[in-house]
Amino acid sequence: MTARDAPRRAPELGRWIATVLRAGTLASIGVTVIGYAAAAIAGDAPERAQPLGDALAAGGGHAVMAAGLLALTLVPATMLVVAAGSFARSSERRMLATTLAVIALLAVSVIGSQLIGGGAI
Amino acid sequence: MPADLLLALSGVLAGAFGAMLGLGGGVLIVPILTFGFGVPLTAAVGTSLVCVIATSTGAAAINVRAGRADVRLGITLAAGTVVGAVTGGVVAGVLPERVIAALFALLLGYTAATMIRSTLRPRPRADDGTPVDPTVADGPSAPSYRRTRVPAAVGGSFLAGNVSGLLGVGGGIVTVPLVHLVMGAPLRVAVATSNFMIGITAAAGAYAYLFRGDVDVRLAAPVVIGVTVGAAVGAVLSARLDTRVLSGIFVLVIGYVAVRMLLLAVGG
Repeated sequence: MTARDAPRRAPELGRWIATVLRAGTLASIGVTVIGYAAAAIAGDAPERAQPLGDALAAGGGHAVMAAGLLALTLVPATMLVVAAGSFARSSERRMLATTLAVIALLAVSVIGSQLIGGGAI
Repeated sequence: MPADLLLALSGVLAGAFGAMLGLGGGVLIVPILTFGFGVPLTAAVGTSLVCVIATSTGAAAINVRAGRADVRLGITLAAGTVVGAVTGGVVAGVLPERVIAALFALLLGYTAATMIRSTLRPRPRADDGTPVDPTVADGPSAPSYRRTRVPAAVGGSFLAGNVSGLLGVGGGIVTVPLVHLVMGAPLRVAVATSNFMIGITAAAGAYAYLFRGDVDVRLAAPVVIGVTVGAAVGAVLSARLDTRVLSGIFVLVIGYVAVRMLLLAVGG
């Protein structure tokens, strides 16, 4: 497939991807801001940096901040899932397979990082 | 001034500069956190990766909707950058900080050289004197292009991913020339496609740092919030400012930081 073929399908794919990227970023930053405000009001401040799983399990504003940052890291993966759906609908099998492979690699990086880092999730 | 406010302002600065100069901001965030706030280098790298996601996804939304980014190519190359970023993130956990500091100094030197070369190159102009980019393929009448050397580019993406995972930057310093020079894509498409990929790459690398406990959420949150605001401000300002002046200031700053990083690497 050449780049000449792409623009015919681009409008719908681009629109969906742009929406997910923008909404996901704003939502995750919003959660982070809420968590920061809650932690500041409650005086919630752990003594040291923690693995993400421990930070989430600790609760309070600190946990909400951690959840916001985690959500931000999941925005690209969510975008890829949406892209995979678009490729499936338009029968772009090669791109569907490639996108699913990248999603799988991201999932492996999450699981592997938890195992290596000893995360509690 | 409270530390959190300083962290947020640092994020605004890094995000704005990054947006104005077409960078993810990591080359500024890592040294600001390391030298300005005494954050261990590994933690600074992890925090920077999270920030890079924020700047990338915001800009990518605009580029993808405008049709500038080659989404299919970006996803294909992301297979290489994701593996590279995970590798880099894991390796960063075992490498001495001096080695990472030395690698970062090398990256800064390369970035500075690239910006100087780009700034000194005379801009082509149209008959009415307005600057034009002869490499642009944009708009309905623009010529299409063929993607070439995709397997080689995926291999190069693995290197870009390692750079990202090890040093906390987006990897665009590798992927833009990869897509433009190796694959032959127009420069604007290369920049937009690289920007699209950076978020995926940075996310893959960030997990290793997050779950290892290298990212202090208390520090990261204000920086990420600041970077998001700064990137939005920078995107607006970049259309109004002469980025050549900014590039000159940026080169001086990262030159200074490169020397500090080298001293950190040598001095331990």
